[in-house]
Amino acid sequence: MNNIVFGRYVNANTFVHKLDPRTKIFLLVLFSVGIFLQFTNNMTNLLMSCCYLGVVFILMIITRINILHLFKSLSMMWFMILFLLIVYMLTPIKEPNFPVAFTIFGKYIYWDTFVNLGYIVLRLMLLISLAMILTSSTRPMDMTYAFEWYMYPLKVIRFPVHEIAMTLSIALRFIPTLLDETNRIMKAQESRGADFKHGSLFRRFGAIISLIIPLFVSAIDRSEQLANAMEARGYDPRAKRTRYKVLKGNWRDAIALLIGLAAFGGIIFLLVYDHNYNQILFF
Amino acid sequence: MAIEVKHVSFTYSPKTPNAYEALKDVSTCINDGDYLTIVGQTGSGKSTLVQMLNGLTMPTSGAIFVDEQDTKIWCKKTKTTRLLRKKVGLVFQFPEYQLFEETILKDVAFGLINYGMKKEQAYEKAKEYILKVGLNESYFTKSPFELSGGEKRKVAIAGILALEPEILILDEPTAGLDPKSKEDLLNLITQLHDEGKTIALVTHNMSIVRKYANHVILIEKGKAFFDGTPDEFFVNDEVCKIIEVPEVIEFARKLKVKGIDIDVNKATSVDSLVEQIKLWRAKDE
Repeated sequence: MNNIVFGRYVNANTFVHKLDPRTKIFLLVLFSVGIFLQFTNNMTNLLMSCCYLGVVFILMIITRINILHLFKSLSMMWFMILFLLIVYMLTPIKEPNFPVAFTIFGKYIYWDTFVNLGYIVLRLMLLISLAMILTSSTRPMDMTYAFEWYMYPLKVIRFPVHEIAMTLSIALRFIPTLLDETNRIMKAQESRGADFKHGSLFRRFGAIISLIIPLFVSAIDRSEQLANAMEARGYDPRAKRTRYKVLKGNWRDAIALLIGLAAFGGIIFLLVYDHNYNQILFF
Repeated sequence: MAIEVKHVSFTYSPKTPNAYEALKDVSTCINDGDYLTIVGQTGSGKSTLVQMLNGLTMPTSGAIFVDEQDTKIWCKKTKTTRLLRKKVGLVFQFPEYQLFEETILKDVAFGLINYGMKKEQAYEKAKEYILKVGLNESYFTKSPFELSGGEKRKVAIAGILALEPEILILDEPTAGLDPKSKEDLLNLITQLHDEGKTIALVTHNMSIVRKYANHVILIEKGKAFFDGTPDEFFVNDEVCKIIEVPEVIEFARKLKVKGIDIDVNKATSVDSLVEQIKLWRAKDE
């Protein structure tokens, strides 16, 4: 259950919390693109990654997120890291920059493999922490409003923007409810002798079935009730509606966007320079 | 003494900003053969308390002793945990939501098989208890999802009864049932109590307290506000301010305040109230 707490909205009154969700999402996309830009030189790549890490740390401090969470995210990724390691080891390297680390079955494994793995893990970690900063500083509802705003242009091609935003916000709204329900059903089955933690795989599988089926049944019941309640109050997805909460940017968003765009511009400039002259000024 | 609750407190999500203390220093004991009712407003901590009695949750501080052994010790090993859960059967609120098997027979036998009974034996026992809760043979092979709410509840209760617990705990078993099913269920519980089972019932219904219980606990804001017999319960002014007293008893209490000297505890129905008033008149003249 503790994994679910990870990245959950934490109420606070910081600069990042007060930003418009649209600004935050835009900057997240910009930052993510920046993270995955590839420079020609390994040292430059490393230096840039360190810069990004520094920015992420500062953001985490501003947003008052415990930095230890970042390392927790790493422990959640171990399986993926293992998988990536295997893939990287099987991928042949044409022009190794580093010496051979060891050989398996007569196949050379260069240090390059590990350097590349390190990069990808670092980048994923950066991405995860960015996503975490976004989700823990933005209410889920605000996030769906922002998504709806971004998808608005798709209305031209008759994409059901409002319906999808509504579905999304309902889904988010019901996560805690379903968690409570899960807890309750687990306890009820445990008092009938189901054991979710011990016993053979077969037994545990049986216990999990006794959880999943009632959970589905109650979720479907609930959705039907909700749909009926909405119908009863005359809900029509195609109707024009006003909003209780109107998203409005202010000076904070202006500052954040300015900084974000300036930094991104700088990175692009460095990248172009790097690819033209094969080196950045100071290397 | 079947269950002893000693200075139990429980806090939800401790050490977080959302920490909520559901129970504060609750002590009581449930004796063998008791018909206990636990009453209190919604959110007062009743359900939290009953979930601790079979070791599903552990108290944050204090301890619960079942057969003179701490539930923490019961739940150390898988084997003894099962023994505890079998000894103290807990029927959850709205138990119909825990049904999942293809047939009712299988669902009722689920607990029995979990506790290590052979399939044939378990099905035999399941049949016995399906009949006992007032459903007939035609239900054995039906799917639990095609039943009405009341029937589902009966099946779910049969699932716990089939385990033959010594102490049966029911969390608001009559909530949302029609009057007929309610009465059937209460009769079944009384029958089980007469057969020698210890019953603990969480309820909002004060008529149940009056009619069946011999021990009542009122939980108010996480504390055991009252712990005693129903007779003491309905004459306690502090208690009657909190609970919703049945109309007849309320009427009798008001008469008594006006100086009509009757025994409030004997006025459980309109007829017995009339009887009491007649007695008072006879005495007065």
